[in-house]
Amino acid sequence: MRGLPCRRSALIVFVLLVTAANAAEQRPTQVTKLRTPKVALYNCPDGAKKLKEVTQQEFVGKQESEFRGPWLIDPKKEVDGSLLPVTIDGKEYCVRLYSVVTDTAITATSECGALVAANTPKSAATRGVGEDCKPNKK
Amino acid sequence: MSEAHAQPESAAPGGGHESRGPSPLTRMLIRLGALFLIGALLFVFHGIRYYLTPWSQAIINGIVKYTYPHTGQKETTVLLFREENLQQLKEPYPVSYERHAMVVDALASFEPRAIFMDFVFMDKRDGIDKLQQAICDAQTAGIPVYVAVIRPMEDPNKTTAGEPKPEKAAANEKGSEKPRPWLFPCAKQVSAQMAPVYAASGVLTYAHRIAYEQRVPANPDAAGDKSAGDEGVRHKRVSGKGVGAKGTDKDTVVEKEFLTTPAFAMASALGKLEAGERQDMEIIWGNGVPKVNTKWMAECARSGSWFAHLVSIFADNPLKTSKLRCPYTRTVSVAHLLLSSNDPELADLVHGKAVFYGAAFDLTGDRVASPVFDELPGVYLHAMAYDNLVTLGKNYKRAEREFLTPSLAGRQISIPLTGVVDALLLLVTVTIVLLVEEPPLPVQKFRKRFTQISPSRKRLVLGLITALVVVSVYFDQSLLAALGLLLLMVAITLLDLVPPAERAPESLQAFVVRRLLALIVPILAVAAFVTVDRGLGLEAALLLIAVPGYFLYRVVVGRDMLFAATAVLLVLASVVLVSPPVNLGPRNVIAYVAFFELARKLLKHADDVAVQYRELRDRHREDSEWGWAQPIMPALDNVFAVCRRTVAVTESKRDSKEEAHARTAVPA
Repeated sequence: MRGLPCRRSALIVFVLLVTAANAAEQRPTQVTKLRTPKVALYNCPDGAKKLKEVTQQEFVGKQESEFRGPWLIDPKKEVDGSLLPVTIDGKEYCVRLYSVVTDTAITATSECGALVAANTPKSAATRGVGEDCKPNKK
Repeated sequence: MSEAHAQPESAAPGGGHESRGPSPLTRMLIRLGALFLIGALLFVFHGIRYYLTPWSQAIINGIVKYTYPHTGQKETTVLLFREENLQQLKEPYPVSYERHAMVVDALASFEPRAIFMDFVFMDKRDGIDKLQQAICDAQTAGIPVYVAVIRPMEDPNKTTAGEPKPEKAAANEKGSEKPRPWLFPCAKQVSAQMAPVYAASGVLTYAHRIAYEQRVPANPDAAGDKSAGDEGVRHKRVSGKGVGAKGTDKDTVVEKEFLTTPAFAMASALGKLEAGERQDMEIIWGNGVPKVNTKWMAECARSGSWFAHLVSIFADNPLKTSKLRCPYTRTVSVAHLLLSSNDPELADLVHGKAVFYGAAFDLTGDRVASPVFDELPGVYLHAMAYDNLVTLGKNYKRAEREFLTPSLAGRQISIPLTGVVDALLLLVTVTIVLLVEEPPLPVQKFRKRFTQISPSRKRLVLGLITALVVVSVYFDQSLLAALGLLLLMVAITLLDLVPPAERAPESLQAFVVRRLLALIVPILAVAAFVTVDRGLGLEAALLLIAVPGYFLYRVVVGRDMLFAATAVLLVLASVVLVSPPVNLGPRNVIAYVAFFELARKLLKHADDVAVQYRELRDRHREDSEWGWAQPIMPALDNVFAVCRRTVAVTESKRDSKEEAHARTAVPA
């Protein structure tokens, strides 16, 4: 009976390790394709400024092109949710998620249990503007 | 049927009063007029229709659920900017132009067929250049972008026909109320205004275009029609200086401008509709939830106990309890679009589809009611209308059709077809009641020839005519179908669907069996209704159990073949009206059947009162005995003579009775 908690702990550690390994496997590591003819590179972390536009030719082009893919994704960098931090030729940029193809698909899964058709209570008030969230700074 | 009072008038006491009554034809016409008037009052003033529309609509929802093809559903996607997305994207309200630009850009990267933005942009603010650029980029990539407006907006550099504005015309506009400038030169403006009327079945009407009026300076050179093509803004200048308004400026004219609605504009661009085929639509709301929606939406399945549901169906509105909380149109959220990469589901939902981009923000209004769903964000109205146009093509259901007829003054009068159709259905209902229950002499004489036909042959004839109507509808031969309906009505009248004379008197056991059935069938029906309602939903329960159950009950237990025949006739008439080329929205058949029942009860009640009156009249023959009513007694004699039934058909002595009536129905 004394060995049981140890076994249980070992099992928990094993499960955590497997989960972590799976998570690491599923995390995208690089941008493999561009989805649009031109992809804009923005500054990080908010993407307010467009720094450069990369064409498909530059991405798949000759060895000497500094924007040649694949682009490595920096998993540690915290950026705006709609952006992906990439390192290109040693420089850091952000690209919009929808504009590139990553080696592993990224799917927004935060929306579960949304109620779309519902009889909302009627309100005798007008919505103000700008509460809670701040506008994106340029 | 008032068989208790069945006795030939010649043999009845007091026949003298009857003989002074109106002729049989006059009676018939008065009865027809009175019943028609009662029916019209009930229908117009919301009587029957008000209470029965939810039930009728619930049945229509059931039919749609099992018959409406999913062609349009596969071609349509709603992109929804949800309240929660604001937080997820750290976006303030109202949504910035930059964010909209990003959304258009993201959508365009999936190459949709077209994009409709269900947002009205009225002001130039920071970041508009980005949205303008994103729309122009999409346009360049061959993706048309439609943007909602609440009034036509003026492109400062162009006329609506796309030509540069001539200086003279521009000068003429000085001093007039100029529309706001159009902010997106690469986008097409479409009207987001909702139609103000509801169609016959209570479903929201979707206008094909919205008319806007404005007063502009009179300019003879610019008069006439101007057009910006089939999809864009259309102008129509109305002649007549200073029409109407107070303090009219006689140098101005009223210009009427038409703006197409999004669904019609997008379907027209798809080549689904010719210009002449566009009329206001009665939307058929798809019934069901696509798999993609069930993945991320809540409460897509019904909850609660069967008993509570059953109680709410009958205590409340049947539509209310069966409404779905997940939409029919495939939906993706803005967060899903912007926070995903390489998601194959997104490509499937957007690539080659018509995307309706709208919002579901709190406290902003823009929600629509529908017979199938709880309140939906307004963008679903446009999406469902487009779905109808893709699925049904030119045979989409019209909220109204108008036909022109010349008036006595030589002008053309526009008559709404729905009004004519409703009046005709009412007239048919009343006519059947009168012709079958109390046929006039010529019909009696003619019908007598058919009395010897066996019941099986009668049913064969009715079945063949019904099949003719069904086949005609199937092959879009509505004229033939209408002819079949007329034939069916005549057949019902002539073949006399009251229990046939050949039927043997009912045995005691048969009587007991019939009464037991009357008790057992409803119990079984309720049990079946609850089971099907629980498993397949209210619509299925109504379609599979309630409607056929009631029909069989009336035929098997009540032996009311006239009810069955009339119900079939009305249903077929409704099918013909919904089918091409008429293509009107579904009619409220239940209301007509209910009125049919009511009309029969009214006739019986009128007969009962008339018999009561005649008995009193026989006892008090002198007008002076009636006191103050003395002066109106002749008029009362006539009124009750009209109310009194002149035909009584009993099962056993049918032929002889008919002969007797044939004699007595003629005024002495």
